[in-house]
Amino acid sequence: MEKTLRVTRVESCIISLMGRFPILSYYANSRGWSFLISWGHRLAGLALVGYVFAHIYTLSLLFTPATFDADMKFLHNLVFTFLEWALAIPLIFHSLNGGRLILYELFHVREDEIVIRWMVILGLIYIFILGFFFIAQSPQASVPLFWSITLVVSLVVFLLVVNKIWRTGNSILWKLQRITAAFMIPMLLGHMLFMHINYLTGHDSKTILLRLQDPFVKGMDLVLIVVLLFHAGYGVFSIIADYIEPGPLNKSLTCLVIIVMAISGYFGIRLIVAL
Amino acid sequence: MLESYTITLEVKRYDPDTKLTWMQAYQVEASGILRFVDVLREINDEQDPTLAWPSSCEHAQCGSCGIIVNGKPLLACELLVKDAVEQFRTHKFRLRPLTIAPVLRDLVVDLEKAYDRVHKAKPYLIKPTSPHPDGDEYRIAPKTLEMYSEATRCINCFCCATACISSHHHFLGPNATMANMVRLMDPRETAKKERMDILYRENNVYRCHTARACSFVCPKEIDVSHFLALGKEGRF
Repeated sequence: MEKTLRVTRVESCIISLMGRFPILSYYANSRGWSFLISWGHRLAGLALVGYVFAHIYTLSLLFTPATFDADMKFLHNLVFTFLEWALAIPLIFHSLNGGRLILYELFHVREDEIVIRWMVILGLIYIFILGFFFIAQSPQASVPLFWSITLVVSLVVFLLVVNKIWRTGNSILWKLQRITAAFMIPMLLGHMLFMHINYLTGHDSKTILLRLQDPFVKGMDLVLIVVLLFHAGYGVFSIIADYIEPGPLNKSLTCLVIIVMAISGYFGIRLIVAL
Repeated sequence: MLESYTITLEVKRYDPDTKLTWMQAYQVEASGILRFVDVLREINDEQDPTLAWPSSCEHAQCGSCGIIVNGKPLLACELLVKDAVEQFRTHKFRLRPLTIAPVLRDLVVDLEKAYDRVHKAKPYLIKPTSPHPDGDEYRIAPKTLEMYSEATRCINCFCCATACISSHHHFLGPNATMANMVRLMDPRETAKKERMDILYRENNVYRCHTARACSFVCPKEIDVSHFLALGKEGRF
């Protein structure tokens, strides 16, 4: 069973600061902090789903590189750079909390409070490293090396989860949701870091198009988009299943999610293959 | 000398005859060691004989006096006035009925409807194994029993189901899922296949998202989310 954790002075300061927000203190007192973290996980997930669509749309502008470059030039200012950095907050939160859930549900890690503590520490470290990358650019960063390291880490995590989950009686879709999560945690966190270590990597049409000529990078992007859209679709389906009673509305919304994800997948795949 | 408190209870009322719902405030001078069921009874005796609340054993054994106080589902027979003031840091309490079943009147919900969910999880041995050859009783090793005995403390008060992030449209509820888990872990049960079919239905363990509100509110201090996670892990 769970061990009780001695709260440090810094943590008690953070908790009391957060407790000043009436809505947070209401749910923290009545349902516990884990309940609020779960809501945060859902909201961050929905925000990331929105971002994926925007990302596919932005990259589709690469068909006309001049338009893409003009748009990127327009977005290259302090406000948008800050927003881009801020986007890492829901990403890191959703990823690390997903990791926490996998540890709790599949690897029997019941020291949940200690895991939450590490989640916050690692999240803050990641955010600051990313901020540092935004400021200190490194044009020498190697694409194949980055992908190789990230892929190896992702595959190790992926295999660990597959080995743990595959023989259980859970439904195939539920298993795939956990497996895709495990694969994406290192993959997306690495992707975000790499895209910002050198500004041109993610914002210059020539650099992006050149990168996409590499079959290995193309393959990785294809895997990532399929995995990501499946994970996002099942996440949204799960929210619908939780709050909409089984019936015509539930079925219609589920169909809508499948259609939207399939269309996004089609455009995303077409984009990666064609570029 | 026992400390007394001036507290205000804002109760969500419901009249099934007129179908009207409203909030009604009662101010009570209550001793710190009174439980909320005692305070409700005092209101019923001295201020408003029409107020209805659920109650039976009043010793946290039957699970019938579950209500929501300031957002937290709990047993009214367990909550002392002084503890409530300390816990919620207020003298004003908002009382609502549990949300897992239709309201019959004021704070009383239709527990039979709530129990329908538990019945779907078959909270009994479907196919018990034959008795031990050396005696009438079936012997369970203490180590095996230890793995699930905590879950057998559940009194089906539905506090966990009310607190759950997953609402009640599609989920049997943490207590019902745990009732199934207990029998899956019970060596006397032989219908494991049927049990697993129940566990891995769309309205069962997949609706649990490990928000752990169930463990947080459980009046019997059962780590409910631990048992649900065992189901996902396939460890039974």
